[in-house]
Amino acid sequence: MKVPKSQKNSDHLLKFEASPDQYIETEMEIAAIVSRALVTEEKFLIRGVWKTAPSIIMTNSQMQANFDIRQYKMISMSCLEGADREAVTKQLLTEIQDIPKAVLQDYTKAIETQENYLRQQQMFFTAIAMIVLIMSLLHIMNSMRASILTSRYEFGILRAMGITDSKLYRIIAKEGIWYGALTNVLLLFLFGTILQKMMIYYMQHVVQFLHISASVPRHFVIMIVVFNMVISVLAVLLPTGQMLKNSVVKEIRQ
Amino acid sequence: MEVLRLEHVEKTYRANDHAVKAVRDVSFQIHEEEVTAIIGTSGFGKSTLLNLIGGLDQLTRGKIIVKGKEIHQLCRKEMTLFRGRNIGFVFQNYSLMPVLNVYDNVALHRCAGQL
Repeated sequence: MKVPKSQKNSDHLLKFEASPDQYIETEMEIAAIVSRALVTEEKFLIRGVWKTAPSIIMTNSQMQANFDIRQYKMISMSCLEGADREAVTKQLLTEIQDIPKAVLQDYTKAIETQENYLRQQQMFFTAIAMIVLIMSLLHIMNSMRASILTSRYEFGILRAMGITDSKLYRIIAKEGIWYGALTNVLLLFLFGTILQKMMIYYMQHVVQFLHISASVPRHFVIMIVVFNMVISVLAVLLPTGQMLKNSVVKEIRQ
Repeated sequence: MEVLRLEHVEKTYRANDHAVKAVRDVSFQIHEEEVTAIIGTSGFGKSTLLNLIGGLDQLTRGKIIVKGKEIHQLCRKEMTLFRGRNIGFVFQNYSLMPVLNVYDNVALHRCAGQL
């Protein structure tokens, strides 16, 4: 990395506007690479000096050792929606012109690019999740429906024997609740072992959330469990209703 | 004592524009402890008539009175309960539960009533 040769740095020198012989190259060890596109954005600088270089984040002691800058600080600010960003930037540049060792960096474009990229990723994975959800729902509904309709002969006999519609609904709903409860047990087991890790991986590496909670909120889990129960019960009650529309004789002759 | 009376009972099956009269103007009475056999060739409407008497099917016209009660006037639930309490029906194909043994098949009716 190129750093000023002299420890008594002037503003001119720190902004890399001095002659090349005023700088020396030093070797530095990389502690971590931040994956966010912010630091590799090419157009984040107002002053066209470090156009294609990635940003390097340094500690205060490093800033002091390499540039003789003490108490290094960064002030973040963002324009209000609809504000004239260019005019604000120009004004800020004018304001800091006389402040020694001050540099203005504009991350707006980089943030927009990053957010757009994240949004696309989120949409892509949400769409995949929705497709998987719809496929699962159709599969569950269809298999439950098939399971009920293959037993229509037996249900027909029960109806002929005098079991009322409400009692039949009750028996079948009980089966649906059992099905839902067992799938919930399986779901919670998978959630505790694999699914939660997968979700955290997704949040960290795909959506790139920096600070995520290590667990899914409890109310969200409860919501999924209830949803699963409702789907299971509906999946058995709907074909039952369809079956009950037919006459007993027709059902027995199946 | 009269336990069953049929008055001008008719049953017509309809499919789209087609109508088939399976039972046409049947009237008779059956008394307690009387054994009655209904005989006829295949397609004569015997099973349809028994289904109507057993409350398994809806008639198109006429009256069926079992133990003084007009069963075609009953609502779906009342008909189901009436069938469960008053009618014993042996189907042509027996309609046994294939997954149950003989005892359970016999006891099923009682269980179905308690469900």
